[in-house]
Amino acid sequence: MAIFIQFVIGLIFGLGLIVSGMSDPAKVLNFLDVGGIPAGTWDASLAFVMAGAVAVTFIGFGRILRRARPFLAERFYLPTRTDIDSRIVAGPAILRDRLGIGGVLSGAGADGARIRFFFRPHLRRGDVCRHDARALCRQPAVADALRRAGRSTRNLRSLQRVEITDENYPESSARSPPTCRKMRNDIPDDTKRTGRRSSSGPFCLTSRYYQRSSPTPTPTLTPGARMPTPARGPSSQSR
Amino acid sequence: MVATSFTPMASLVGGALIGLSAVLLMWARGRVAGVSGIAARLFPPYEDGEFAGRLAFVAGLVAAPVLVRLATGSLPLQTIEAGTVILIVGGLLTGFGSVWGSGCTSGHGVCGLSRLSPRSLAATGIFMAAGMATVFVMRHWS
Repeated sequence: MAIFIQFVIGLIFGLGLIVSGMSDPAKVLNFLDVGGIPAGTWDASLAFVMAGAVAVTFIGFGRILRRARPFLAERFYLPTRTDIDSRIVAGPAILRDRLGIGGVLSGAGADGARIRFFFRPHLRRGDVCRHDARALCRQPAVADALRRAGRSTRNLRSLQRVEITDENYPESSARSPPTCRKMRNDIPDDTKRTGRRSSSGPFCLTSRYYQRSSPTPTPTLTPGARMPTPARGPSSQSR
Repeated sequence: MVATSFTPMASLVGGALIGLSAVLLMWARGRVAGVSGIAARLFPPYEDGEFAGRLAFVAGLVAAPVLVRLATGSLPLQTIEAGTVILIVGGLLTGFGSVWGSGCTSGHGVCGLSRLSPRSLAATGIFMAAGMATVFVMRHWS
């Protein structure tokens, strides 16, 4: 069944190539021949092929990747290296690693998901880091990891608010400039080399998800997590 | 060189078919329809048990012109001017480049761009520019 479906999919691809004219190398060459623009021999067809294909996949992928899993496979296999520059600045490859294998999504109940953040320097103890869990889950790498962990990619309320506590407050990065772009540089060197973090390390989301904490302590929505109640020091009281 | 006619509608429709194929592969098997990657993984090491599926995909690709032949009585037009040596060298370079660049027109150009991947955007821009430069040198540099 799966084999036959993939045969048909390949057939559709091949027919697309033929219908679009891309089975003829001369058309491809004439597209690449920008030197032929003055002479009028340039053939812009390939651009239309790309436009048609990208339009369909853009819509189609968006819908399909919201599903829990493919029709005939365990999970989605998406290139993850691509996502390093995406909106989750910390590098979803590592995030995926943490979510899927490490203790970030700890084994607590279905909604006992626990996430640790690689906090931005402008965050201080007592701040509440808020992020759009849906945006997070739309990241293919994250969604992939969640699926593999058997978790829903839609209902992640528990991921939405995390309080910055002593435990997850990184003293070392407190003085670096508050630019989220710099996040990737904050990942330790062994991460860059191996794509893995050896130390227990937190993550961050983009700064637009942050907001100041309210005066009342916000409970961390992580049942079963070891995250301590924030010790509100004078520094956070004075603000 | 051989003049070709500009076919915006046919190309758009054909492109949509290619997109449909990519979407279907993602829907069914959760994989990106990168033809170079699929073809490259027909060779060892076989790590994920997807060999038969990939072979079926490539078989479908190859079957498309056969189907066209059966339906219309003639094979789709192909114009190849290059000699055998150039074709072999070009094929090797294409294969090497697409594996090294981890994708080709379908993987980076269609699947990657539609996922808004900056890496794929860079790859697509670079290989299109390199192709244009190569054609320019081959055709106009004399």
